[in-house]
Amino acid sequence: MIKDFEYYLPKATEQALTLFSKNSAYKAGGIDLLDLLKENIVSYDSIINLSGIDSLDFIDTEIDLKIGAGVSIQKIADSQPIQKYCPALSESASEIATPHIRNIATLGGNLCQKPRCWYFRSKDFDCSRKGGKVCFAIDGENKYHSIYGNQDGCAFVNPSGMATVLTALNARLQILTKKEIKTINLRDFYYLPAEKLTCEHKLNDGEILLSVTVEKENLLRKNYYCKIKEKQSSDWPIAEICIIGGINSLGNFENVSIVLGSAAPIPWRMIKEEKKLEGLQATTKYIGNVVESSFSDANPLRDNAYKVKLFRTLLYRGLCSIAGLESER
Amino acid sequence: MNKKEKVSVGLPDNLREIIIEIPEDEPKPWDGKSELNYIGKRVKRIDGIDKTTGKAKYTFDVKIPGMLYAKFLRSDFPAGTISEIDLSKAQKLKGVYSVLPAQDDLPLIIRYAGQEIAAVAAETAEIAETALQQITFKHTTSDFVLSVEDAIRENAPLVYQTTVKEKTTEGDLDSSESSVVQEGNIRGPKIFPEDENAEKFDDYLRNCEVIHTAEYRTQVQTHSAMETHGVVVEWGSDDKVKVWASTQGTFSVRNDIADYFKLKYNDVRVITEFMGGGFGAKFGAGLYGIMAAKLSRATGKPVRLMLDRKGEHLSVGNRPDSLQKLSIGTTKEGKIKALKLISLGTGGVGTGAGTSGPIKNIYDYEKIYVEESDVFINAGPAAAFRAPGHPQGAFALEQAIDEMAHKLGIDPLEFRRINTTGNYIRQTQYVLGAEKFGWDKRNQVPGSIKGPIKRGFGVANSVWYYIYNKGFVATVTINRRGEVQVINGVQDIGGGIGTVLAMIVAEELGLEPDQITVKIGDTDNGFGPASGGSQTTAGITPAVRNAAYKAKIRMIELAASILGKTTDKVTMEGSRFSDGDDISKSLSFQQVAAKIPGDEIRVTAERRSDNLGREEIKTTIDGVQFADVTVDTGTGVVKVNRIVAVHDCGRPMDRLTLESQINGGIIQGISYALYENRILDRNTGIMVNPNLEMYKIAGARDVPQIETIIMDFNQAMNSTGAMGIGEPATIPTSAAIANAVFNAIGVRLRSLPITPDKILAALEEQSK
Amino acid sequence: MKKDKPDPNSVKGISRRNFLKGFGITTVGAAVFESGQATKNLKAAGLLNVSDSIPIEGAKMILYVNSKEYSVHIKPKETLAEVLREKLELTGTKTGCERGSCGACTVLIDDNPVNSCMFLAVDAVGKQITTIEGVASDENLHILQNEFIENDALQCGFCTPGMIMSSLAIIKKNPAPDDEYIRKNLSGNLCRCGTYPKVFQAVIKAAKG
Repeated sequence: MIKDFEYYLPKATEQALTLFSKNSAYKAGGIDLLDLLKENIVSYDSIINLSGIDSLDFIDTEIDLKIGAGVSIQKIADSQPIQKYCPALSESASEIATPHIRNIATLGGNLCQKPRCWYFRSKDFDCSRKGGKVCFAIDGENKYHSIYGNQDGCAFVNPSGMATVLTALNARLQILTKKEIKTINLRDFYYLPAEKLTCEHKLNDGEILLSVTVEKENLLRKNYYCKIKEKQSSDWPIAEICIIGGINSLGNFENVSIVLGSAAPIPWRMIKEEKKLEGLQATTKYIGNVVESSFSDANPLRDNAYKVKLFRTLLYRGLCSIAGLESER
Repeated sequence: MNKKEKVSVGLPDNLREIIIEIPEDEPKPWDGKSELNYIGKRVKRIDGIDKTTGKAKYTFDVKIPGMLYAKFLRSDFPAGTISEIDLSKAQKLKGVYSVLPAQDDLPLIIRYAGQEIAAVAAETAEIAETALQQITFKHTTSDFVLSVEDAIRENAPLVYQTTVKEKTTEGDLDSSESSVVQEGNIRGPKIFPEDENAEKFDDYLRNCEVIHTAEYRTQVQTHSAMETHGVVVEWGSDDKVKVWASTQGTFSVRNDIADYFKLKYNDVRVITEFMGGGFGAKFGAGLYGIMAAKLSRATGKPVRLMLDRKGEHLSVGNRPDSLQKLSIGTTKEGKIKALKLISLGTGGVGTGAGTSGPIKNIYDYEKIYVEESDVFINAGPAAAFRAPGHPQGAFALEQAIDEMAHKLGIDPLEFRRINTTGNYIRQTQYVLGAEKFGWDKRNQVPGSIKGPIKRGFGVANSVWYYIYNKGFVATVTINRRGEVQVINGVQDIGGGIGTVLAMIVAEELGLEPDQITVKIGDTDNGFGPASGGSQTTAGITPAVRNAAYKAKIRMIELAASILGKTTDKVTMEGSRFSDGDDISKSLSFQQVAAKIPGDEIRVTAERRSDNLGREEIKTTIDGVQFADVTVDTGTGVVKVNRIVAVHDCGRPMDRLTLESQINGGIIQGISYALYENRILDRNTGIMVNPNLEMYKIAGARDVPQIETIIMDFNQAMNSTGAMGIGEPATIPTSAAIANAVFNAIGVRLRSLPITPDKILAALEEQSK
Repeated sequence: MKKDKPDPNSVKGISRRNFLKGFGITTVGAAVFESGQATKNLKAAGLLNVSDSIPIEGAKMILYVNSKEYSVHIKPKETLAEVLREKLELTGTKTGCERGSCGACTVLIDDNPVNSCMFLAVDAVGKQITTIEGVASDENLHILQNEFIENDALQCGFCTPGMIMSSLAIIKKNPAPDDEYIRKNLSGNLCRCGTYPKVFQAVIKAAKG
């Protein structure tokens, strides 16, 4: 049952900003918000609908790739420039949830949605992320939980498919505050539980995510994206990877960025592996070596050790794909 | 008075004639040589327009003036005792009409998280929900058990302190078992054969030349019908009760309510115009039906109580899980000598976890020994679920059979063939299925395909039974305008029984199905079968045909009198009646109907026993399915590419809707094999996936290519010769998939659902 | 490279903003909250028109459903599914999960399939809503409905309205959908009876005309 709220329909972001008061929430597509409201996880006195603000709904490819936070996931999937310059992003978008949800859900909502952990989403569990004392997942049913960043009282996985890809693309976020438009690197946007336990990201109350920018030099590089789901129709991933990178004229890896989704409470960068790959000859043998030595720092829970094996496969396949090699795994 | 008829029985290309004896007032059964216009053809549903335009009204859609909305308060702890409940605050809320405890007297023992504590009826659903939050209670919690393993441990917390009687519903198989004992949380074992000595049997098994033993596990599956359980009850001031119910047994709902409230059966009317799926969980009134009736009686207003999705998962049924230890002993040549099954399973706080159907009824064997027990845990009760016990049993048996074949070095299909030689239907099914599927192209050495993506083929048998009850009463009317209707209380749960009834009457009267008005789904329409045990069609169709036949005889008599002839001189061609001596003299159906004395012809006929005094009727419904899967050994993801299903079900009625039922059984089987799983939090006993997001059901992208072969098998055991298909088609699918997975990767997955984590673990185990 | 910026809010040439003012949220509720916090907030935001907010108790609005105008009182928290079913008596739209997982509540909003259980009714103001009741024209079934019946693409029928709405969106967008496209675009609709293969057939045939 949803608690009653007032509803505002501003036409401009500045109006929205002013309308925000103590117990308000912004709503874009509203998929995540309605879910939380229906489960009585949250309640608000007023909800400010951002979906009537035209200035949030654009895809601009003039210089860099700039996507308004209000753009629907389906529009990202269908955008031809994105398909061309950033196939991982359109692929990821096209595999999110269901067509129905993609039509409504927005980029901003996808990036900022609350955890999908089943303990968090159920009123029956007063979990640490909701301000309770324990994380039920760590000693509970944790098959779908994190293998990294899970030692600080919360084990959810970042649910944003867009974030996995955009983190690999080193995207920047433009955020409207009462004072300014600030820019945050997506790689710095999310909090690990160790940093903040009940808040997932740096978009403060009342601030509005305006847009996401991917710089030109990060487009047109080689893309690999793969999402593994138990069920192919509408399911959350059990593992997700995005690799953006290149092979230089010597046949060596160059500037590779690797991000795992469904692995940690934040899009999980494989910085060590990125470094190992820099300048490494792109052969299956060397790729195999990198993959073999990876994930030693993972901390799988009782029921999710399989994710390590799964991610190894994805990493291997992804690097082979970037290198133009046939994967043997 | 009986008459003798010569009928052709058997498979279409192997018919033989027999003489049968049938009652005088019944038509000659349709047999292998009958040439029919609609029966056995593809006829579209008569309610297709209602269902595709949104006009179809389900219980979920029923809205009557003054109707109140009711909701349940459920426990959020799995075990304990409620000693006091305070309903007063909830009662005082504006818009609340009645608040009632789920059990009249306290204490209320809570045995699972999700159990009903109280119910509220209010003006709106919102007020009802607000009121629930105002209910307070005093309770203690106690220790609980959530798995079979934990429940059978010594000193495990007891789910019940008392002996539990098995609750039976139409969907269950025979469960008349006086000798079953209950000790601790274990109810059983039930031993088969009853007089078998376990030690002697084990000696016999040990002496077999080749022995295979392994343990198999299946998970709990919830029914998850798209329309949740629920009713609208209107308790009249005259104590006549009208119930709209989403049920697969209108009469069982009526009986439950009448029995509980000590009302006359005649004063309770149950209506199920359309219903959104049941799969075995929707027999009887349920606590929700009883509570809605109490609330309606208390308030004098109609009350709607539809469960929400969470309540649906938690409290109104599931397929029990199983832990089956299965042994097979054979000769070196591969003849099965001994079969043994030790089966434990939990239906939560309910019963019905037996799995022995397949092992008892598919293969030839010398000796068998079965011990099966229900184990109680603190979880929602099981209910009959599409072929109760059989998908679980088949998953274990059909994998064990495959493993044995592998051990013996015999082709798995050949191994099945040589151990079912007495069943000529099966023998035919193997040949048809193998050819259509391309069984000979299968990977001969399991796991031998190079590369990470491996494809494999598997096969599995199913068995179900020809079940029918007697006494169903069908009415056929023809009025003076020539309008025809068929009337019976049976509900259509999606199988399309209404269409079949129209087809039968049309066939008999030479009309078209859409000329027949079908009135079903109402207990005022005459006793009809509950849709359980795949018996709807077998149960009601003979009565309908017999009634239509009687109506036809009356029309012939009428035509004879108009034509001034004796009835034996009147011939019927289509729906026209002709003078046999001069066929230019003929009357249309309408012309004859116009002369009906009074208003209408109204005849009824009853479902009697199948015709007696003849050789044994085959009572198993057999089937075999072939699965083609691809396994990504790097990710553990299994994709089902193709299923070929061969099933017999007596004489097919409507091939179009029959095919749909088979598709549905297979798709539910795939969903069971790969995705579905009720997950209870091990620390709190609360289900963590009581939704349709994390309780994973196969969707459009998970469905393979499905090809069905429906065998016509005529036994002419009654006027229609129909048997059921609803259940058989879901039985072998998970086993066929598991066998195909083995064929692909060379590793056995003996536990459902076959998810990527299990595949990856199994592959790792193998590589060690 | 150029700007790709269509107007997502246009409804047959009328911009949503105008539509909202013209037909949408009426000022019926104005008196109720003229002096309330809502208005204060609005004024602070530089919004003069009370039609830019809806009070807790809701307001009368126009919904445009199946080419008909419905004047209906809507509270902000009410979902489109609720309003369609409870207030407009359009019960063809079902709800199966209330969380956007099953698709039984699928309706089209400006030709796009959405879960009406996860869509606020107030957000549908000014948009064209099509429900299962609006698929057939007069007494003629839509070709898709015919093909659903001909191919037996339904069993219990509870998911059927949602399934048809998603299918309708498919054939409106893609005149020659292939198997993969159909499956992907039906992946938000669950059918527990397992009728999918025949739904695929029906959609392919309906697309062919």
